[in-house]
Amino acid sequence: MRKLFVLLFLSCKEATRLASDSRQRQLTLIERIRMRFHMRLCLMCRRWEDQMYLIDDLFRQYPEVIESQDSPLYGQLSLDTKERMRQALQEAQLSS
Amino acid sequence: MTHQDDTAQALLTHPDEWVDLYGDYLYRYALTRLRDTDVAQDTVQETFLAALKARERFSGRSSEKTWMMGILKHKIIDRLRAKYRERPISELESETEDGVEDIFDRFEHWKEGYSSWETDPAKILENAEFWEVLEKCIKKAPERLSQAFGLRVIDGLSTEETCEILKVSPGNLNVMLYRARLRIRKCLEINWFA
Repeated sequence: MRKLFVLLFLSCKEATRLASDSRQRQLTLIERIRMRFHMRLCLMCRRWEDQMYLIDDLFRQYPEVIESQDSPLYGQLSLDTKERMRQALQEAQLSS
Repeated sequence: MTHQDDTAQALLTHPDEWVDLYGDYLYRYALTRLRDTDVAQDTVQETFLAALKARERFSGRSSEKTWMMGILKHKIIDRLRAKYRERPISELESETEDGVEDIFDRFEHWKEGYSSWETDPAKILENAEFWEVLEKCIKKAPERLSQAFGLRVIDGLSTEETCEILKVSPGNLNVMLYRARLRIRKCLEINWFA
């Protein structure tokens, strides 16, 4: 029993690392079993895994979400910069 | 030019209007990804000029705004590719410099407990302030970590493509993504969910 426990044991750091890796590569069978075993016993790591999925999902949607939003004040281009961009566009139109 | 192309071209606005219509939006995204105001501005400028050249190929299948964002995304990847070609990420910082030691104790268990997040996805999507926090958190992470996360998760590039751009091995990329996720999660917890 003790042997089995040692075989399956992972630290929280190792378990969360495997959870993250599972998004990049196919985990080996033993890795999957060890991770699931840890997750079953560890509420914090389960939370971490759920939150990781949520975070990835939110970032995936980020470009579309800001498309539907008005820009926040801090991110706005200055009037000078906008004028410069407009001029560059006009010059490019004339030369084409 | 076919009839369909005519319709697509009719959906385009005049280039004189682009800066006012899309400038702030494209700049916001470019700044989140590139983190430097000058570089972000140059990249938005390049995007407009590229759009001008490619205008005749606009198919009308997406909105003009989405089309411009597509061009910007390519320009950002080009920038990153050039940047890391010149200055490859030689080696990963050691654990102690990486902020991970604040998260786990010496037994590799969580240093402090944290609670689950009360999230209603529909509400979060509509909350403009939340997305500003999200931007802040990816920008706060060390640059190479957030670039790895941006290419892989936001752009949805494959592991191979991401490794090729950042000039790192798949093993290194996995470490970088793990550290990026640890940091971003912690930042979101402190700045939003706590």
